Amino acid sequence: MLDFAGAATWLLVATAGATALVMLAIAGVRVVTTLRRRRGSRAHRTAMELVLRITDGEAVPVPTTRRLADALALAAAKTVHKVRGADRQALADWLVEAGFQDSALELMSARRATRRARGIELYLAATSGAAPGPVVPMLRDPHPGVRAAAVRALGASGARDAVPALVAAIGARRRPISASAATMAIVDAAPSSSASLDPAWRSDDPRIRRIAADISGYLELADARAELERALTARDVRLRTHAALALGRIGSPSSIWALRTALRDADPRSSEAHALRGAITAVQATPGDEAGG
Amino acid sequence: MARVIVVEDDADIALLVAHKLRTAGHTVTVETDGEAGLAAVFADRPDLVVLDWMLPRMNGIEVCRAIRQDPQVASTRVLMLTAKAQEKDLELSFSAGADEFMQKPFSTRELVLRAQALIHRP
Repeated sequence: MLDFAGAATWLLVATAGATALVMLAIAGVRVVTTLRRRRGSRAHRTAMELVLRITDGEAVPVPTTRRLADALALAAAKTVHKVRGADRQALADWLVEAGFQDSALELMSARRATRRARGIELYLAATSGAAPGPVVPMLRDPHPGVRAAAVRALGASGARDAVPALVAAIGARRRPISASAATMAIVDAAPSSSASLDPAWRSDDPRIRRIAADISGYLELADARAELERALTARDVRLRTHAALALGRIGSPSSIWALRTALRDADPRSSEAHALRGAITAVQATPGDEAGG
Repeated sequence: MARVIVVEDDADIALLVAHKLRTAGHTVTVETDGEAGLAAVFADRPDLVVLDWMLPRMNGIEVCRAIRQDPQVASTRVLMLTAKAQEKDLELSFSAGADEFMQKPFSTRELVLRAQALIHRP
């Protein structure tokens, strides 16, 4: 049987040993993480050099090492969304010729969520957002990260055809997507008319109609004016406020009567009234023959 | 051949812009935040600054104003390259003293052409 001093010594040694092991493990994890990050950024730097050569019109073969091939595909996919014109076309063409469009489609049905998300990014990069069809179902993916990646990639690729699907996904009760991210994605995709927002305007949910109002305002969609003026009389005060702000951004003098009528009915100290007054000032500042009806 | 400073916090965009400008024959320096960009303008006296708007430490508008307010560098050409796209952003850029405004995503060919035009403007 151990005496007290022996037990204390044993406890001290065991604690010191455990602490040393934990510290070693922490140091090991940090070393591995740092090495991985360094290797990743080295691969990215090399990949970006190849991306530059692709945009210069050089025929760049697919790298033989998997790590560099993956890094190049990822770098090209990310760069595609930052440029336009000949550079975007060159990168998209390279991704297709190198077979990344096909592998993107395979990745999109992978079991791991991170792979599916990467597949989305690659696919939209290879198609320059022109054929978002296969990505649209990913807005209903079971994993929220994949849904978020689909929203982000659809917006970044400027896929206008996907706008109705994004609008519908905002209103989904099951597997929802972030309303603010989807709004920004739609703004990025910049539909030229409010027709693609029809599902949102028809929604019973004022939150969804508010989003349609916001998008119409951000993009200054003049053909959304009738819907926005109708929304000035909605029961939901926040919808009315957002509609007023959007009409102010669109700035059509034709909205003046709808705005003045709404202001007459609004609580003068409310943010709704503030938005209406701002919108009235904005539409009056816009030159036009229709001002004043 | 002109001296150009690219102030851009997105390393990939900075690399791309610098590469295209170098290919066009210019000497290019890259800075990744507003303060460093402004310091480089005073130190190098470039012919042109390609300036992002949203930068750490000091934004592009502040850098542009600072350039215009100092007689030593006030004549430096400034091309704003930004994701901001609204009319009021354009107005703010020009009122801060920018000579040219380009929206992201951008065409590198267009950027080089605009840069050349600015550099050769009397």
